[in-house]
Amino acid sequence: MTAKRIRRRDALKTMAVGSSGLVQLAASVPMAGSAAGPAAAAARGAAEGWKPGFLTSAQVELLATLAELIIPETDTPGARAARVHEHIDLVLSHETDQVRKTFLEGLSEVDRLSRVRHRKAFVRLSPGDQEALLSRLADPEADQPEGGTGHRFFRDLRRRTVFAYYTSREGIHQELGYQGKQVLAEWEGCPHPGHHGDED
Amino acid sequence: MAQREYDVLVVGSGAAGGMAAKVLTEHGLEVVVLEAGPSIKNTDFLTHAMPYDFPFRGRGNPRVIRKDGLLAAREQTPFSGYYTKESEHPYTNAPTRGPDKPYKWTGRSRILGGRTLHWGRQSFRLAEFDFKAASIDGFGVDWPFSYQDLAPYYDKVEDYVGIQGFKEGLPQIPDGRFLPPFAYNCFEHLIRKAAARKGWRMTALRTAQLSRYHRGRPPCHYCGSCGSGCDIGAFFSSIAVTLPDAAKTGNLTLLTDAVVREVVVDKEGRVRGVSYIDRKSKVERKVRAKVVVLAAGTLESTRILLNSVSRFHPQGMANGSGVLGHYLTDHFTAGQVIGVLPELVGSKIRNDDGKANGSYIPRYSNLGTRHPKFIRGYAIMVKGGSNVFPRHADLIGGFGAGYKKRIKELHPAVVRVYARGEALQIFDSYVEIDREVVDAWGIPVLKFHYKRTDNDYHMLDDAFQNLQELMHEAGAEILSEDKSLSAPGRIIHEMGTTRMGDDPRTSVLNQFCQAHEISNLFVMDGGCWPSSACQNPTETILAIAWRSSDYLAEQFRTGDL
Repeated sequence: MTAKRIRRRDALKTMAVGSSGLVQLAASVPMAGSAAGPAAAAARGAAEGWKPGFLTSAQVELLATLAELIIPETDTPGARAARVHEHIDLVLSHETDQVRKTFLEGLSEVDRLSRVRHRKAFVRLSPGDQEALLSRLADPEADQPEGGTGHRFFRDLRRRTVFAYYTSREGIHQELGYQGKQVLAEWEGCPHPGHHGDED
Repeated sequence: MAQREYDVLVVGSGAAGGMAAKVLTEHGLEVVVLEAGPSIKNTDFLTHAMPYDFPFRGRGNPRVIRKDGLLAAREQTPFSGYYTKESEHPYTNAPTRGPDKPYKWTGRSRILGGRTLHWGRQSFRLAEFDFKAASIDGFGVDWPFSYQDLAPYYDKVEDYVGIQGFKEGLPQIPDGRFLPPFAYNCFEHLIRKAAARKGWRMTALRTAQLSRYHRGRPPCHYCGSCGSGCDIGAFFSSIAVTLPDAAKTGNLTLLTDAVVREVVVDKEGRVRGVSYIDRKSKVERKVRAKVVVLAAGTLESTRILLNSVSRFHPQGMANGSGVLGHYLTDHFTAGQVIGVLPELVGSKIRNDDGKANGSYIPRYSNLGTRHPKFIRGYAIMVKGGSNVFPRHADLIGGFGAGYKKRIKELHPAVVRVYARGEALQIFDSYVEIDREVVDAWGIPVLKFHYKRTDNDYHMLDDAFQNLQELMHEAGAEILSEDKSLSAPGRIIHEMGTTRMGDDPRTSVLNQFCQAHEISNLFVMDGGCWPSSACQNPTETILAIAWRSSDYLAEQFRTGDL
């Protein structure tokens, strides 16, 4: 195992090119049910040659769609551009059977709710309908009529999404503008006299 | 084959073992240090790596986590085994009672330098009153020496190691010979003002990180990566400081990958060396020495003694008193509150984790006045600011662009306060050898019996209320609260199982860490503490190891060993 040390400026340059391309590609490709279909191409995205280790390509597309709803592209990249789905797939491929089963049941529940209400797969819903459905899952109270697994899944999915996004280059540098891991000559501390106490 | 006999054999190369090696070799003694793990250099560390440099973003493969534990799975470590693998180093727990949690023997490391490679670096003196706590409140026993006996060694340790911090004039954490302090972050100033309004003085954590060039070592460069090991040796570790000095004397022999099984005795029952198992080949060998110093960490040293059974020592070596393995404690975390400071919400993201430490509100309980429900006390740790990962993201609701924006706004404003308390040492908390289970080298493992006292839970009540009040005083918006005691072992400050004292009937060691029963056997790590105070222990461990090594060398010189 070796740790690659990339200069931040170079990393940002690479990411800026990679991420915008990925978002456009994903948005233009329709959902499909098989690993050989166009959805698989979408999931591969900028990571040319990436193949899911555990999820099917349809599940990858659903996951990437949900993750992007949780951390969307704004003035900085979102979850899809940060390839959050790839990381979650990698982790799941090493999880226990029980964890994987629970996760897949959660994904299925999202699609089931979507079909019950809109007679369409979740990824085919309008952004507004997707957000409305996810809002129900995000609310522990509102979810109860559907059986309760939805909210637990939302919490688990959001935790995985947050971890993958905020440990990615996009999350750390572009979104949060992390200032650490520098080599500094001096430690300046808080520069705001207003924060200091009288005796400082 | 005629075997070389060393003057002193030291088991372990962490804080105590490294210090013993330095002091003893500088006194001219021929020392061999046995380390159970492999060798490592500062330049092996992945100090500046980012989470995305690793397939599992540093956290580790879930498969490895399940098999070997969270720490062993961490990817920022230079090689596998940097933290011990639980599958190779098992231990067992007796059933616990009520709300007590089983002992969690975590943070273990088998590597040259031991836990000094990844310790928290927090460095405090114990207070004068900590050495005579029993005389003050009637519980337990006093230490067999006083603050004044140890003070010259605290001075030496601070001069040698390099510790930054503010002088405060507080008796709970006596001032020492500090390097210039690191300046406070924004959130620390704000909490400090809130603490002052409650009548408490907050100070920066005193840490063994250099704020300027010190004895040939470069200062901290504020990369905030201490947890992954320091590539330039700017924080104290055995491999950056004590072991190189020991090597310079020409009197040091280093034997890595040597897993000590037991201390061996001659036909008079005197210590004559140890037997160890080569970590890689699993072949058993012996090393001879005139004196053996165990410094393998409280629990490993105790395990070696309990496994050193002979006709002279049927209950384990140096255990005529029957207290070996007893009085086990670990500091505990007594409650935690996380919140955000409104003044800092939406402020500029700053390099808050660059100095890699936070602040500290020293113990305020049972100083002068007596709390009606508990004795001893706790300190409050203050951490926060913009770190690499926004842990608060899981603590707020929602999703979408608003959620993303909120995570960023709160990032520089997050503060986490938690209490760090003293657990009382009781006979009924102990380790013994589990005859049913052996480790990967065939060595019987420890079985833990841990009981909390009511004092721990009463302290939690008080600490948690004060954490809430502190955050309220600071005007914080609360994100999460946890009123619980950490599992014993979790703080990795284990102490007490080879306690020192003047009476051989109630203690294992004398005040110089020398076994009462066997004059050429010493145990110099945290096991000797007869009470644990609430300060982080390493500086005191270093001072005791230095003092005991001076004594050992003098005894050696005069032929008393």
